[in-house]
Amino acid sequence: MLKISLLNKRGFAIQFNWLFVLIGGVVILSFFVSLINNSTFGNDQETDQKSTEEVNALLKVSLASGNTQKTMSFDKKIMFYCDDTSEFFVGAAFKPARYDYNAIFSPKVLDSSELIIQTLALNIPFRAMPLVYVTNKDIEYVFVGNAPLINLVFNQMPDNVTMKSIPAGSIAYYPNFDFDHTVFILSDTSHLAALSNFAGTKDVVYAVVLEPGSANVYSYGNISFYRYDTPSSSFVLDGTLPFLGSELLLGGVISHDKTIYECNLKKVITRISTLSKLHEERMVYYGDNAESHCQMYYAGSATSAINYLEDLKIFAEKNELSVVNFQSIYSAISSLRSLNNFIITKTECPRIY
Amino acid sequence: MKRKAQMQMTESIFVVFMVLIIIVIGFVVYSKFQETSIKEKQKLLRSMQLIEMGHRLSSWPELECSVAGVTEFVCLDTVKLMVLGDIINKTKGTKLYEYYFDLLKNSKITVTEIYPSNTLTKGKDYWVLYENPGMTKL
Repeated sequence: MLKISLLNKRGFAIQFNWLFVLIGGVVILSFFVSLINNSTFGNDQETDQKSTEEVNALLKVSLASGNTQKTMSFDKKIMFYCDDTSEFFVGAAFKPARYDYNAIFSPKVLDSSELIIQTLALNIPFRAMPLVYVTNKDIEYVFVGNAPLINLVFNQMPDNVTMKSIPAGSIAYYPNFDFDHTVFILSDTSHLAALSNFAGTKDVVYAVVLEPGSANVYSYGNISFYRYDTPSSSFVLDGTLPFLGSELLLGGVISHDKTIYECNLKKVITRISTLSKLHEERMVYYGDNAESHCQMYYAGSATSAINYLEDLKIFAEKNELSVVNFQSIYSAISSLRSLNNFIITKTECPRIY
Repeated sequence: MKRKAQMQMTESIFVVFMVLIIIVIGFVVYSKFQETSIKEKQKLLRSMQLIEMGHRLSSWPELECSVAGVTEFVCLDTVKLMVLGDIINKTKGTKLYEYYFDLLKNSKITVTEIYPSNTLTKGKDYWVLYENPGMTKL
């Protein structure tokens, strides 16, 4: 009987009403659920966006100031991308902060409660740009041996960084302290041994090998980037790039990432080329307008500043990331520095920079 | 009976339709309100960017003056001002210009000396560092 009554028109209408109420209820309920979800996710996103802006403001302040160091509490994950465009963002932030024309050396991912930021001015020999280094206490920097380049970087590291020095040859038995990254800084590839305490780890151990361009000259040379491959128990080479001055050397060590270092290195080279052109024009002006006995220092002779600046510009414009090119840049910088020192100490003519 | 059911159905549809219209009107009003608030925010952001750029310019190595390698606080080298202005404004279309365009966008940056000289003579106490008004929409 019931079956029959359900099949008639009245029964069908009642069923339809209930169905309508059910569908309507589900739609209304799901609307509110999605609203709550969106608002929760939106709040997280907004907090992350604000954090991104905070870090960006902090980095901008660091870029505007000279040689500074800061340690700040920051309990979020920061991701850096440096390629054709340079940007970083915190967590799920919807808009990254761009740093296309600034050099910020950092690992690709930073995830800890404290952030360490250091700024150093790059002089070539005139001030070219500030270099910013960002790292945290959960990245361990282990300096192997006491070669001059290793000591040079060790002394330039930010104060609050987790770092230590170990004798050459003791890398194989180095203990695993469960840091996010353990970075070995060496002067020789022969010390890159299989590690006995890092089995089962992935993307944790890295090595940076620093080699001077020529014997006893530590102002330019090569940096090789390695990462530890656990299955084969060996260090795998990611690539080798040149450096110029201890500031860039520090950038290679802090970032311990070939992509980030290369990207920032290109920015530095572009900056050298731009500023060389500017100073060249200044020298033309000084060559025409300075007192006659001073003019030879700026333009007109083979040993004048304009020639060194022209060399600097030419080698920088080559955009060639090779140690030979960097040697030429270093040579032009040294000549310019000597000439400027001579002008300051031996003459009363305006200095070059 | 059939007509009554039809009436009820029409009534229900009408109610749903009205609710929908009210929701749509609500959304439109809300989005208009948001638009105004976003425009205000944009204005604020632009002002902040201008202040930031001004602050940054004063510490540019291209413009700063230094004594024995030490940068002087808020000091601009007049020769650098002249040279940089020439370089930027005469190299339109080159990579160098693009570099500064990316930093300074569509703007006009002038530096005026107000004391002791204040004659607004270009190259003496008035320098046009960058001039790119951009395109005006017709």
